[in-house]
Amino acid sequence: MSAHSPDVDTAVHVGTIDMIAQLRGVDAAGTGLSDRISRQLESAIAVGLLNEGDKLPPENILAEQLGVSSITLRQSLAEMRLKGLVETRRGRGGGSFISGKALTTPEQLLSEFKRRSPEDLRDLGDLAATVAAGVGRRAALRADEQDLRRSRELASRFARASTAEELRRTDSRFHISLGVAAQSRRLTNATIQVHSELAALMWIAGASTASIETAGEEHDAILDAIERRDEEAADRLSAAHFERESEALLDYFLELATTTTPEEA
Amino acid sequence: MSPEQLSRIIRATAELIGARLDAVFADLNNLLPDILLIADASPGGRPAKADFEPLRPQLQAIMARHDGLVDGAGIAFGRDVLHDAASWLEWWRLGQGGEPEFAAHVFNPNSIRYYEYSAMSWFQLPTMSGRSLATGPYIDSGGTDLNIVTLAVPVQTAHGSPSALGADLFLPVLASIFLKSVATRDRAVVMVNDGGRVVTSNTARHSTGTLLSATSPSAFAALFDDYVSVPSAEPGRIPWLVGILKNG
Repeated sequence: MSAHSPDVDTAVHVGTIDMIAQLRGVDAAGTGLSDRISRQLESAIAVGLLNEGDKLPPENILAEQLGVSSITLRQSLAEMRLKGLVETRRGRGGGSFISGKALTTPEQLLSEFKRRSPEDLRDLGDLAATVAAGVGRRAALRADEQDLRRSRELASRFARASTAEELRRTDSRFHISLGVAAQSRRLTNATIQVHSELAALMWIAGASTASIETAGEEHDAILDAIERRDEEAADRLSAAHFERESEALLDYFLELATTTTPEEA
Repeated sequence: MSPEQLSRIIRATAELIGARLDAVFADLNNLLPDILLIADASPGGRPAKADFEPLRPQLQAIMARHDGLVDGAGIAFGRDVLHDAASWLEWWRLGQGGEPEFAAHVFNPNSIRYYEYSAMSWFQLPTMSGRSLATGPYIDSGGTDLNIVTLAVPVQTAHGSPSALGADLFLPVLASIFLKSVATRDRAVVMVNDGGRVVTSNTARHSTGTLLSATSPSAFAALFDDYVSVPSAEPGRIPWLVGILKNG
């Protein structure tokens, strides 16, 4: 019999909660604590750190792991319950579970996207490209066969993804796997942080088949460079991949911003 | 789009940006007499931090008056102006909920968050030249921690070095004003400061904060097919131009 309570044993791993705690993004000073926790949990769902059916640790334990009071955590969970992201089951084996409901509607994502700024998008792209370059370089030096197999598998899942949500999640997981292949905890965490923010912005425009194909080819080229231990190419190709994607993102933002309809103006 | 149409667009955009910034400068100028009044009324002409609290409603009103363009405003005091603090910012900022919040800064030189405003361009340039100036965009580390533009008006009180009365511009709103006015992506239109740093643009290739590949105003003017200075009621205080990039 386990010395721990069964609740803790079946809940998501403490390492996952640690990563969630680091998903700070760019919340400005003054953001309410419970809002921040909600955003962290939502980001964790967006990048696939938390998945449908995952059971959250008991409230008092989760609150401690996230470094907030139980009251603050309860506020966040209540908010997420309202949005349908979390459901609470009572009784034996009960608790708070991540529900399968889609995070946000495409319309909500689009309206949030429009509220960004060109500078903000450029800055996020810079961070993504810089982190990815370092990850690619080190993965080329350190990835073993198993790492590569895992990353190849995720790359092919991305290539087969059909919905925007699947694209977001498989894309994030592919890049996170490269951080793992680089054998760096901090670079993996940095990748997760970048993707937790980037995920909500990607593939909003209704991903064109061409742009998915391009991204897929770039993923493969990065993996090829890693496999032949060419760290210069892995660095350059990883950076170029995010530079192209963030430029496309910024282009789409500018396209929307320069063609505002009269009622929005 | 014809060169004439594009020419009209960049001129209208420059005028609009100039007018919006001039309106903020006008608000700052209106506050100057009150600052001098408070300084002069204090014993020996050396006021205390708290003496400027009555100006809070006026500083907060500046943030409320410009449709989100201004998200911070305040007074940065010069050396020896106050008798109870060496450095002090009486500064207000819009919080998440849109309510004004006092902006606390760290003035401990040993702290990594030390906000040494006396060494920052937005404070130094206008107080040394005695002329109002729009500075930026720059990363305001230790202050707003955002990429911003600051408009500052210098003010000389009876005692101490000049102080600056300033307003922070929220770049997403500035970009939105610019983009709605340009309203085309046929050609690359950029607004740059006199250092060649992009304030905002309609092209992903020259985004906010990046430098145009030229090192002097005359050199980067050569990068444009057509360009126009952002006009201002006080020439020189908005050292920006709006231009159509060659091959862009």
